Amino acid sequence: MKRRHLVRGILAGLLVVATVIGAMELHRRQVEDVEVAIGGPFSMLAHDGTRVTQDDLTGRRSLVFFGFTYCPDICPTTLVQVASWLQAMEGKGDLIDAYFVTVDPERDSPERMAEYVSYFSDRITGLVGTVDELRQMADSYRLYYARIDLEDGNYTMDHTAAIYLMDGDGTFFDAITMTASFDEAVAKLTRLVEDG
Amino acid sequence: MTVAGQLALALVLLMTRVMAEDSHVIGIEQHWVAEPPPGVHVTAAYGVITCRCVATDRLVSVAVGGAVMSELHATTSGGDGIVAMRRIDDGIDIRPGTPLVLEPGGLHIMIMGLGERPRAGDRIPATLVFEEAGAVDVVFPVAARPAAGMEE
Ligand SMILES: [Cu+2]
Repeated sequence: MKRRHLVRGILAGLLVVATVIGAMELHRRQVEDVEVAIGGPFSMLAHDGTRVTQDDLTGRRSLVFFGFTYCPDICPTTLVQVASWLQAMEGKGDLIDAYFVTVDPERDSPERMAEYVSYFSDRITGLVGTVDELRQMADSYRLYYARIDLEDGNYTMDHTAAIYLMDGDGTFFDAITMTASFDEAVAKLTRLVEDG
Repeated sequence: MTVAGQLALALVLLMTRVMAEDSHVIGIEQHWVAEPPPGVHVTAAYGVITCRCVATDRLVSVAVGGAVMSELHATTSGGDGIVAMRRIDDGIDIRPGTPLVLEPGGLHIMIMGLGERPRAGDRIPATLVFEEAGAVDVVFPVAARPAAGMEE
């Protein structure tokens, strides 16, 4: 009797281990997948009311990153960084179009984005989509975003923080992560202009 | 006891009290509130908090003047590159000799529901509450986020 329980216990344990290993493997594959295919179709409203699509990336060099205006810490930090990188590149920076895409279309209107991004730089364009348009761009850019409700009735957004560099064909060239130094970021952007 | 003896004892007692108070001192340096962009009613405060103390203290809550709500928050990013911001419910430990660093992209004091938009150059009074040290009043200068972002 006891032995049967033991065998059952061991089998259950093995099943748990197998499930965990399977889930980890699946996650690993998904993460690898993210690294190979970033970019693709999107259509969004720029903060000046014009429409920006994947076609607008062609023949330009682009920098695409995501956030939201009610973000008090990481988003403004990133916007200030992007603005300072573009400024440091001087003339070369003019070849790069920088897009700040909101993951919070519920609260971020084009007007609000205009006021927000202009505070940081005149070189950054805010993009706003409908819920469906954001979903499409998120699929193309392998973007993760999720609404997290707070106790006080407000909410915050979790989101992918990487800054994507897109080449003259509108395809993925490189990414700048949160931990990159100023010099590393400017070096990557310089490479984007020269080789992208 | 002689008068001199009583005086000496009083002095010793006084010194002991002063030393006890001096042995647990909270300091805050390089503290600032980020000027929020126009139309934004949330922002963050940063700084380096030190405890000249023997035992670990804990920053448990913060009240910022002019804000509806202020909370201790952490911005975290995983290996997957996803950033998340969460409230810290049970406070942040400050160990003797180890400064507690509140900085962009990490631990911060989240300030919500600001009535009037603070501008660079303004000064905002705040009270930091510690488990051991109690309430510590601090005035935060408001500054635009530095151009090079997280670097000096
Ligand atoms: Cu926060």
